[in-house]
Amino acid sequence: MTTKKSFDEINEKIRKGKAVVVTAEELTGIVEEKGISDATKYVDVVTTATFGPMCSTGAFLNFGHSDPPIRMEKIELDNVSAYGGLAAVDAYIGAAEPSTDRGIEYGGAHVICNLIDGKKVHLKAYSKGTDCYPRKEIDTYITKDSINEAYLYNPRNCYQNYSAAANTSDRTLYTYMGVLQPGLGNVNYSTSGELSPLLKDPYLRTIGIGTRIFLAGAEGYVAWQGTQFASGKPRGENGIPLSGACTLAVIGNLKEMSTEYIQPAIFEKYGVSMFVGIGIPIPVLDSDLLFNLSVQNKDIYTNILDYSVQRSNKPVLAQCSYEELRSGFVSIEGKKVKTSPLTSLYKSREIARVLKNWVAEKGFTLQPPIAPFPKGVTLKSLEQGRL
Amino acid sequence: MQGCIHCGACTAACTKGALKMEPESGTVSCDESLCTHCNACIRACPARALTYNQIRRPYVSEKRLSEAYEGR
Repeated sequence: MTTKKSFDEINEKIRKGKAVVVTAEELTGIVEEKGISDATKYVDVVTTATFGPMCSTGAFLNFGHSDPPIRMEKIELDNVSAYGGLAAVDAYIGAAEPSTDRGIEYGGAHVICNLIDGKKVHLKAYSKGTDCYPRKEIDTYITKDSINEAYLYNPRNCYQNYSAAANTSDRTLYTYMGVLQPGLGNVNYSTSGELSPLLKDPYLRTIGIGTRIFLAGAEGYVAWQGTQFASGKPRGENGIPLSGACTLAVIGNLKEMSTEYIQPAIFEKYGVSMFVGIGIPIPVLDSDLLFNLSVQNKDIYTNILDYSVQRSNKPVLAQCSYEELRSGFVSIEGKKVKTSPLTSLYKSREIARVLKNWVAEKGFTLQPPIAPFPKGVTLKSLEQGRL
Repeated sequence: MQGCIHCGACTAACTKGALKMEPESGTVSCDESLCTHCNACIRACPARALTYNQIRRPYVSEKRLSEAYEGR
């Protein structure tokens, strides 16, 4: 008889402290021992996680009104420009924004982390002044406790898969995928592989708008499909796309986050980015989902792209599994090439374990998607010229 | 090593194959016989966890950087 479980049944077990919760890596051994059918009955929730760099990260802040009030038009936080084209004292600071005084050595990602750590941040704001907001300038300090709202809103995180990067040219390339050495000197990749959330629920059956997640050490939510969401990408037999496909927009209370799980990143000769820790609990609803959850690195493939070709569509040099990438070397046209990760497997594992504890011991129940994500979505390119 | 997030970007920048990361523990180690002290790893570290003092002194071969340079 086929096992089927509902979110309600699993949540009831979580509330009673009786749910069997394992990390995606732990599931592998259970499936080898019990098989798919018995493992489906036995396991209730599988935790997944990732801790990788993602430029599409930022935070909304509301500073509160000064007296007399100001309609902030130009805003700087520690000399990092924040977007003020919102209501009078609302702002959005992007992680990738560099500072005016220290360049990429200090940017929006650093400001966000300093706020999370409770440190003082220097706020300067300017306005032309209006009858209702007469002040034209303010120079003060804020902390996360002195302001009203502070919430992380990341338009794109948690890529379902991502192509690895290499360089066939004769010069070193400095990219958001790290340093790429000339003459196929190395291959860099960015994913937690078999721990990565969207690789484990490839058709997003359990992940949609409203899904409750671990976000940088706090409770967060999936807010929307991420930007550049492409559910229509070609998939392998196991349902996993071979390149970047689905993404998530996520939201959470910055005031409750921990810099253990969110960190600034500086990529040489590229810019500022941010490592963001995300964990997603996936309920074992049936054996089809458990099969997806049990897919291992050896069965997850990605393309290796040539970043020396400065086009949006970069040529594929080879295809390889994450087991090969994680081994430290891959073979490209007979050449043994060193591989390096950019996503921290160490931190990803830690997040998967913390989330496992939240679900198993602290009653972190699972929120069914309030609305599913669209299927068959393809990416549009930006064309030059008139429509 | 304080600030290390165990991502692996330093190993990508090392042109001599001197830096290696143990995938299970995330520990970075350096083979002294291969390291030329070019500092490419320092510049590539996105967390700015590596410092010049850690790199310019010779390593104990295959010893954890964090152990070799703790407290310096």
